[in-house]
Amino acid sequence: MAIEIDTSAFTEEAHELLSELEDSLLELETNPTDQELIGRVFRAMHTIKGSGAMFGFDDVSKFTHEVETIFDMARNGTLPVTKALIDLTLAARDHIRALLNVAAGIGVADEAEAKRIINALKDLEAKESEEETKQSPPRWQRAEKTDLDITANKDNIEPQLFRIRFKPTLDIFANGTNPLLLLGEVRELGETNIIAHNDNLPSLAEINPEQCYTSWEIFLTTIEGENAIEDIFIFVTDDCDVNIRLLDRENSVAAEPQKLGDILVQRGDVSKDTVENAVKPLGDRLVEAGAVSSTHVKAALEEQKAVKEKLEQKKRKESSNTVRVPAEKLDNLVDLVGELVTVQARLNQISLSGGNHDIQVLAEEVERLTGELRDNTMSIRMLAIGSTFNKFKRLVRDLAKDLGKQIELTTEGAETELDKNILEQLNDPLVHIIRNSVDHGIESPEERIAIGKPPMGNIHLAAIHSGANVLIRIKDDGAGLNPDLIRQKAIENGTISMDSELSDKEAFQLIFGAGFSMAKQVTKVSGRGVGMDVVQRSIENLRGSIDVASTIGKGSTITLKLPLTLAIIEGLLIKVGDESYILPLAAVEECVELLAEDKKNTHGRHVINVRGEVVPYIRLRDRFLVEGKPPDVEQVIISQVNESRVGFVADDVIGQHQTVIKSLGKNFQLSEEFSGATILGDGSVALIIDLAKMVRLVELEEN
Amino acid sequence: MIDFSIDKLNSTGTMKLSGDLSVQNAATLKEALLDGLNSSETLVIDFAKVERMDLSTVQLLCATHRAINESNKNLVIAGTIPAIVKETILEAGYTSCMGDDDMSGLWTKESN
Amino acid sequence: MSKKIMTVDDSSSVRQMVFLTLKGAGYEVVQGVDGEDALTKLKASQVDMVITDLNMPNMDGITLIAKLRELPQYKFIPIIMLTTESQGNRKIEGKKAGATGWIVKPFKPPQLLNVIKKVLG
Repeated sequence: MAIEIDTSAFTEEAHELLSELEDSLLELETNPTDQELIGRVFRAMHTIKGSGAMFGFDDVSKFTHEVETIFDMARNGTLPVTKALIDLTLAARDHIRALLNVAAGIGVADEAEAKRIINALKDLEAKESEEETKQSPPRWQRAEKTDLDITANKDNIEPQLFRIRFKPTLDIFANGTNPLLLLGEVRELGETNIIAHNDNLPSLAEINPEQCYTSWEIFLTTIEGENAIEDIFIFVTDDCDVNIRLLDRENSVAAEPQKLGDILVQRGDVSKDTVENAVKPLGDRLVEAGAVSSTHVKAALEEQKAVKEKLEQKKRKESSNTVRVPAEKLDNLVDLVGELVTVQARLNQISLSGGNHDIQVLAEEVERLTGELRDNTMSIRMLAIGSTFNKFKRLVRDLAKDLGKQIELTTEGAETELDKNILEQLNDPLVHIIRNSVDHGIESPEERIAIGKPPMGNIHLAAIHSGANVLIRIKDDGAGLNPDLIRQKAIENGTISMDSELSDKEAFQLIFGAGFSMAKQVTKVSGRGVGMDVVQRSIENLRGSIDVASTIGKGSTITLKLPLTLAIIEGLLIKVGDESYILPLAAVEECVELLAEDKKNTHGRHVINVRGEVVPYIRLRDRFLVEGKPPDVEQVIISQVNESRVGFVADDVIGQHQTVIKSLGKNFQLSEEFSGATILGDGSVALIIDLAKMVRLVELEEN
Repeated sequence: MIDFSIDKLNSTGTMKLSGDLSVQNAATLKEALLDGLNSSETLVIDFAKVERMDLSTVQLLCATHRAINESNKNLVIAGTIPAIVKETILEAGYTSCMGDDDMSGLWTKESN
Repeated sequence: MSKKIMTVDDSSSVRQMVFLTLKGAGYEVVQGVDGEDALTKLKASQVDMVITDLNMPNMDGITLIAKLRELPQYKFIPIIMLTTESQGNRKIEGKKAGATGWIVKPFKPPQLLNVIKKVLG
């Protein structure tokens, strides 16, 4: 054909594909088994071949075909991706570019190079097929597949759902338009569902056979854009109603699929009252009542279904549509968000004191955005605990086998999400706890049968959301802890004195003491007394707490309470002397006043009567050796620390504070009672008090 | 193109359609269908020789179907139904007619 | 049975281009040098589609379209007009006269084939 065909579209596309090809190949070198990458390489070549042939670039097409054929074997797994294969494919890529340049009048084709590449590729294949089978001819001699799937590289574009309403004018046939051809073009764009509305069709006697009484509603799922759809109707848009609507960019898809009635109302097919008066099944009733024709209901149902399908597809897509990001990038992001939160706090402070209304409005807006940004950023780092749970199945199985026990591990709440960093640091403590359960908790099958339990013991791992915390419960149906035995052992160790009166709960806490072991003998699994104290320390490092409940003969439950995230907490800002401190708000129960006479009445003992309950307190002024005169009325912040109520006395309570936690440098590591520091709105620093640790230190010092 | 004969005894009208059933000939087809309907209790339509068909014919068939239902007469599709007929009906989205789904069944499935 | 298309244009190069493109795509092609010539030929022998230029001597494209639509055998066939970007009004006139669609000159063979597919199938 002596017709000039515009080829620039192809060459442009080909150059793009070539650079993509290069990237993919280089990546493939480091991940030679990545099917995704192999697929990408294949598709790029496939497209170059297909389009090349269409636009008359026969050399390009022919050469690419040969390379593609060999590479297809890598895709099918019959040829391993080796360095040699990647080198050759890269050389082939360079040669394709050279061929494109030749076509554009730059340089000359190096046919020797083409031969070298193809022969080397064929050698690779021959070697492989020799090892496999001597029967079948090499792949490149077999017939080429005929289905040229040149659209394959569009796979990664998310398809969208459109609703097209097409109502032709009555006289559309008279200007030579065949509306069915237009419908056919729409079908070619993707998956369609076409519903004809023919309510307006007159009776056979009255019909004008040369007029069009049909209108259509088309649901199209396509990777093409709205323009492609508009192009189809280009000749008829002037005199026909063509309405194209993207259904799933609207909020209807983000949430649940809409109700049928809502769709009908929204589409203007019926009024809202009609829908509300109708009883279920809605569609049928509406039709019976003559409010709407059955095709309209059908179309609306179709819309509902299509949106639903789209949603499901989207969900499926989402699971595979993930981006891998190095963890430190996320950490950086969290740091930056933390700084932003700090700056935002300052902005708030300044805007409030400045009295400029506009700035206040702006500051509020920034506050809202910062909050959302913070929550979003935090959620990015959240991982489901399920994978951690799964690791323990193997652990329990192996341990139980070693000890001759029968134990089954059940889990619950695997989908519960926790900050990635917490999850990582949670592994070791959980291993310790589960080992203890397997070793000391669950009895041997014989013992279990003797006391009427099933021979198979159970350890149940559960994760539950609870406010800003996640509770992780490790529950076994074993022997349980004997508080008397623990007391006895603790007296032997000298941990407690002979005359100490300890509740069962307090006794259970003793197992977290350093070097404490309940095992009668040291086993391979546990009993060396290194464990529970380490567990407690790790959990406290995560700003969590640990709780033990147990019934003799029935089993034990250990509950870990962990914050959702490590980076930002809700804090309570207090003042002691000139310094500001933060208490984790989650632990705070209430604030009461400490009057001078309260102090007198207790004769110097540090307790306060809170509505009849005596609560011990720690005076932060004393603790931090603050000099000067305290205010007449001090504040006691009553907090929950390890299941008991403890007060912390401060000069003043400032209020709630979004606390971005900065870790303390190495020099401060000895100051155990602080878990970190934060920067306040005015730029000054406040230390974050670790309540549990402070209580423990105080107890130690008193003993 | 349209060959219509009627069996007076059973008042069964048989209409054999052939060739081009597109808008070009829609007016003729309409008159034939109307005559056929008025003169018979059972209308038998044979599409076997149809070569082209478009939306105008689909509309006429749908209207005929409705008229037959309303007058308590019978409609029978005889012989093989060529692909062009089935395809055109489905392409036009006429999968439901008179509120039920038997349109596609009646016009696109062979009756024996 | 291949479909028959008439191309009407006073420019032989345009006719040639349309002719080659359509032939290459498997259509049967007849040519008219102006409206009058085309109308005579179309009356004598039925075609499935007409592609016509608008500015031509003797009888222009719009008149040709209107006259064709008066003929029963051309009442419903697709008629495509060739326009230029600057002929916005002519396009509307053409549609009024009964044109099915248009192609803006200059165009490339694939565009022409796309339009034919759209209106002729």
